[in-house]
Amino acid sequence: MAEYKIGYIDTYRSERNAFIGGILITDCYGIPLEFRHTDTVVPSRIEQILYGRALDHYLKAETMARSLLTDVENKPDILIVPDESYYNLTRSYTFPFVQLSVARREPLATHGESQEISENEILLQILSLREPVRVKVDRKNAPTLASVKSILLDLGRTMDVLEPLSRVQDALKYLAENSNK
Amino acid sequence: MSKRQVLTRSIALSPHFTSCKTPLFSGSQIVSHKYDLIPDALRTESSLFTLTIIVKVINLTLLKIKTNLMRFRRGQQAKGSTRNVPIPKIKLPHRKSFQVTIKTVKIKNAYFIPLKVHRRTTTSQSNYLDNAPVSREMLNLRAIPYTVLSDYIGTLAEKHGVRFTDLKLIGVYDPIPVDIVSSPVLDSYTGKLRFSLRREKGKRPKCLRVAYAKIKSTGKIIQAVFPLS
Repeated sequence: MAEYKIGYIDTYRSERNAFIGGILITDCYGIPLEFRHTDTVVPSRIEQILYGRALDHYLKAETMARSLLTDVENKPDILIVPDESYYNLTRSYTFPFVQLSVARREPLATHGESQEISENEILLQILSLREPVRVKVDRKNAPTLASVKSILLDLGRTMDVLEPLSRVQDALKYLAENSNK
Repeated sequence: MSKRQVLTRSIALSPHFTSCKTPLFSGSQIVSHKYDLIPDALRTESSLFTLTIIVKVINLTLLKIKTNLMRFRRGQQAKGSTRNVPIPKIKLPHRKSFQVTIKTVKIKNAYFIPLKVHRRTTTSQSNYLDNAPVSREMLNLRAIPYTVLSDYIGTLAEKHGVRFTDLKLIGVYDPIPVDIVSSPVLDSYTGKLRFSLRREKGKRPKCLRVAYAKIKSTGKIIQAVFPLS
């Protein structure tokens, strides 16, 4: 099996409206190779008003994710993103951005089986006896879905491909709460 | 009173005029003289009224207005430029054109909104997650066929020498790289299995499925591993 590097990127918004972003690069067993995070950013009230609904997207994708992906030393083979707001960045990087979630439904018949939902989204049975994983890529990168599927099936035999996202969330939460102490 | 005789005198109130009768129109011709009322040429004097126009040259340099730039995107910076603007049809003795300076103020004290993070955030590497525990979600036992579950429980009973009925299956977890796992802990509240992973270079850990069960009579927790499928 190829030694894939898998990236997990996420942001955390604390109760006092502080944003922090982080990226975790793991090996194929989920062991951290690199964890990088941004400084905490607290948008002022006027900034919140001026940016409105775009604030979240701007901070998450345009500011934090771009900085993190530029600075990270271990470039991942695949990047797991929590939502669609990161898809705008795909054209700037060579690795695919993938959205993963557990599909709350019966497992598919066999390991490795997939079921197409749309041209850029599939259900994938990574391991047997589990709920399938919903795999989604940017519509423009729909042709990469086949290679993404192959990487995920390989990774799924050695790690839980969804689990590191919760580690990133926990780490960001800890850092945000301790940044101003 | 005695009555006297009053002497009266007649005094002519007006001197005596002699009048003679002169015929107004004695038949002679009335002689008239002709005067040219309209002269042949008017004599004029020309006076030159030099109109002095006071031209006030207003300083056309725009007022410097202090502004705050709210920069949202790169490339929208204010740029200053100077242009000569000729003013046609106005003849001024010494100047042919004004130099009008259109100047946008270069802002020194600009506020960047929002985000002190403009398009770039400082990032730093952290080892916070290096030793963070890894977790695995329990497989949904309801989704596992009964034959598979009974096979798992049978294997556990056989391996640990207990009766099939004395076992209660806790959970099944995968994939677990059993060679590099240390200090596994079953979280009874969330049902998650937490463990740490050792870093061992050059060795390819074997990933397996692990089933945990509790011996009802003793309360001891036992485990058995199964290949991934």
